Amino acid sequence: MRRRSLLAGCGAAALSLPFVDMLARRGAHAAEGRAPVRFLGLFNPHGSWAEYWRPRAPSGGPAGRVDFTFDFPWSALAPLQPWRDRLIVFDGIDYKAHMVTPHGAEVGHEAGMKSLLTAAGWRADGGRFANSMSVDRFLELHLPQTTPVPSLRLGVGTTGGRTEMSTLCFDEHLSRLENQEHPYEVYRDHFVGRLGTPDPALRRTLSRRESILDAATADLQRLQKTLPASESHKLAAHLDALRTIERGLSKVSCDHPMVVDEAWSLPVPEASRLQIDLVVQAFACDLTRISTLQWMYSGMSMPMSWVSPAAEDPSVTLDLDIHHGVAHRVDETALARKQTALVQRWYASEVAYLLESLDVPDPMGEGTILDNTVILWGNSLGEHAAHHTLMRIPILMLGGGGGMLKTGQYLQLQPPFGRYVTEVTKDMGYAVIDEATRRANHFSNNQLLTGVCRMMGLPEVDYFGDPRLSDDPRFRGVQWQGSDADWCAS
Amino acid sequence: MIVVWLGIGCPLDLDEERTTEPVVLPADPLPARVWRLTADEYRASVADLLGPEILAADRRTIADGQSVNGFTNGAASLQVRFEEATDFLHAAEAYSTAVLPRVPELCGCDPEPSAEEACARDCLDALGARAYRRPLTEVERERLWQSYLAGREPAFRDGIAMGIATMLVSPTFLYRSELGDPASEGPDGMRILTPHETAAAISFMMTGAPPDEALRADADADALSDPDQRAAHVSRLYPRAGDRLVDFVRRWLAVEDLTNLDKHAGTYPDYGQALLDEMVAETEAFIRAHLVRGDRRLDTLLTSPDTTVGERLAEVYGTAPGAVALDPEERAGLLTQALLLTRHSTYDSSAPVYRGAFVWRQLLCQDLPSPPPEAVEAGRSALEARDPVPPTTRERTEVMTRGEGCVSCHSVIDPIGFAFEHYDAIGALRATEGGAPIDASGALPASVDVGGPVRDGPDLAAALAESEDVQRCFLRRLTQHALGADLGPVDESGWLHGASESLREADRDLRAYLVGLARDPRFVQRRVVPVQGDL
Repeated sequence: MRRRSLLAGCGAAALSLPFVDMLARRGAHAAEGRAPVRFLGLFNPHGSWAEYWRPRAPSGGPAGRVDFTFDFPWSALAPLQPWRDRLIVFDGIDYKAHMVTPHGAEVGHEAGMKSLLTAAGWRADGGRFANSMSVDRFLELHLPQTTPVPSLRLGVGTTGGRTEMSTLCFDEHLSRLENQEHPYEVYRDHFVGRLGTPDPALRRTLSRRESILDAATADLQRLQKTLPASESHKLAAHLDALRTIERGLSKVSCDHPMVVDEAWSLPVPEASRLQIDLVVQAFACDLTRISTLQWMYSGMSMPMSWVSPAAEDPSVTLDLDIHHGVAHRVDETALARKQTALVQRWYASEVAYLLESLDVPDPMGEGTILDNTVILWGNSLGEHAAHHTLMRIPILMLGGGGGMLKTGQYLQLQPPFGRYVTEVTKDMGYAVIDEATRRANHFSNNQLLTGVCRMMGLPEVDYFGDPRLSDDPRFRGVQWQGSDADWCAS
Repeated sequence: MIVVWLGIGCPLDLDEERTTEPVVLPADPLPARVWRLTADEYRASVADLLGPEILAADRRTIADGQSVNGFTNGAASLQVRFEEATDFLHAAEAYSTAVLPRVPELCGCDPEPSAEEACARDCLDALGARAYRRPLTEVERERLWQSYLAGREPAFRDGIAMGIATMLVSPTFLYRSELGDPASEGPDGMRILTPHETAAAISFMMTGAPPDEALRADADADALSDPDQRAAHVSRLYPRAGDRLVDFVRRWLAVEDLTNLDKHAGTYPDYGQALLDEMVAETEAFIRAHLVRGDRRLDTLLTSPDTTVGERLAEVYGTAPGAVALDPEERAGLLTQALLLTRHSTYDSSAPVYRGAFVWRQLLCQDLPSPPPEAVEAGRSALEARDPVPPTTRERTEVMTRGEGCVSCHSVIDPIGFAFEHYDAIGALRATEGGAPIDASGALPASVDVGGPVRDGPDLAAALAESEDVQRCFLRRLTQHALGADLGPVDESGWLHGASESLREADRDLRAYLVGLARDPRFVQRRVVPVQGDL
């Protein structure tokens, strides 16, 4: 593995990560009783409205670093109030990869969602896809493969058919990695046969699959012998893929397997809860340690009629054109701002359910599963949704990160917006953000992803994403070539 | 996507997705290769094997290859990695489960126990030959029989379904073999495709689907080594090439991707999905009317005012809905259709730079570098220094791109794009912008064979329609789509040059070009010896 060798030999931490305390777990991976750290990436689209998204001080004034609450009218994160000591609110993270293009900054839906887990800009060779693999895939490739399932990528309401607007994860070839949308398929493909399921029909599915894969493998090996050298790499990659699938079929057990029935009809709220249950089950049983969960996709417009009218004002509902539509109108009407808060509050309630489900004793070791998980929850757009900028993204990290995540913090990483000429945006399709504001902000999600890699057991990762964004002089001038990027300077 | 350029300089490489690839061995035959089915070809092949209604059983989209010039069907990058392998596996399970009730019909037998083996073997033989696009080998026959035995509890049909699942994940199904017949290999490392490989090559090129009965029969009779016979099949299949040709033209014009087409609702209140659907329908019907039927000439595609529009689009065009002849002073051919103009615009404005870059890259096959950072700075300062901001897109573009580092490219592409200034961000005609009259005068650079000033969009289209350079570029892209590789400029390649000669002889009927490709000896030749540049 070429990239692994690039990682080896990296120097000591060159990067300031004020949210990570690596020393808290020194030697942890050798220690008895320590559970592995799991990573979960969460995404939902359409930004927010800063006034309702940012926490406030309990006294009502501006929040401080540890002096903050989500408990106020129209608070988008209100459901997370019980969890405020188990999370970090990042206020002022930019998707900087899209701000250092030769032309200035880009904005827009799909750039944002691709940046969350890649910290990179567009790839140069085609398609509006990311110029780096995403961190979930990076971890999958570089951590020792000890679980039967390398990773899960789950979706809720993400199959809009607009792939560029609905893709969160990318592999090392910069190809998109699809979500699994149906909980039953997740269950059937990854859980059945591994958790001692009693269902004979499902056992049969599994043995048929083994037989089909055996035949395909034999065909591939035979065909491989007839190929000219120039073509053999294709079938070698195909064979590798089948071996990965087959390795995943080997059985493990977990004491309390859940069951998902194919016949269940699953509207969004139910599907969301079931996908969360599956992640929790997979982490608990060590089916995988890496997962993503994506709610909806960028640019989608749908009513969220299952959300109750706002407690603050029952006339504010999500029964009509919601989501993308309100994101475009937040600077126009107070109603749209409140609806945006209500939309984001629904996602927060799902995250709260996730935290509650994870906060149970970890079968793999000390603490709860939540203590041993690092969750990164991000968005496609900034705190001012209508501008569609990639600045000041609503991002939280949640869970204990195996004791390494310094939770209970509200980190304000940059001053409020500088000159931001809305009129020009509206008339011309250009925004002008003053240079001082742009340069003053040096915090991008690259740092967050670097922290994730380290907490997950790759302390030698000095930088994740586009190295042009780094303030570390060692990375300056590093040639950035998409998938061939160097991850650290030698 | 809404793009806001902080550096209002030369937003030239916005459209980075359309890059060109270094040319590989223009005149050589293609390398011996395996060519994974695209997502569309995969579904067409499943439908051919199990009947079109089976496709409802699984709707996952399998990833295609990397985009090269907008085309994602290149043999070099279509692969089966973990994600595709998983998708193919699960799709095969879904299809083979859905087919269960129809197994007796598919096999033509539903046996008594005594006749089970004969019925099952015959069925697997017939389905297998269809799936693998050639008769089965003994090893394959035995493998499918073993699959049958492994799956036949509780019933005959379960065993057949198991056999079908085995076929659908077999590399023999998932890859089209173009390895050639080893016995034909000469000392020069050249091989000739087997008859069944040739049949598939013709069929997929024309229809995106496996060979039909007539092609299979000619393959069985080894009749496809005869160039006239190959040519006859191409002509015969041409009326069924509509989907392939629509796919080709949409990729060529960079309008296959309909994501991120939001427009500013205040400026374009009538714009929405319904109107966009009508734009797509217009362009697709136009391609079918003039390229599948009609005179099948490129100049017709670029100039014909005869089109069919829906009610919403008719409002935009200021015409009656239905089959209409648009005013040739206003619109001419594909380039002035709403779909193309809408795609090559920004959120709330026309986009001369994108439109010019589009013509330069896709119609003239020219490369375009990214703007240097210092030029971006200069462009930004230039516009910021202007108070008030100029009212027209044209003037703003001129202000931003007149800097020293900008002009070398923008003096080429901007005058092409300016010719479209009569059309706004959804392709509607406009006489003024911001109160100022529209100036749509433009120019094609002198390096192009039809270089010189143009009055407006229809005038530009008329010039491009008469250009040999445009014709050569079009044929290069058409060949890339047909053969899954960019073979380089047509005029430097003996092979492609031969095909374009037949085009000339047929009064520019594009069908003759495809016939010419299939007739050429190199259509069935494959090179085994690797040459620098492969992969």
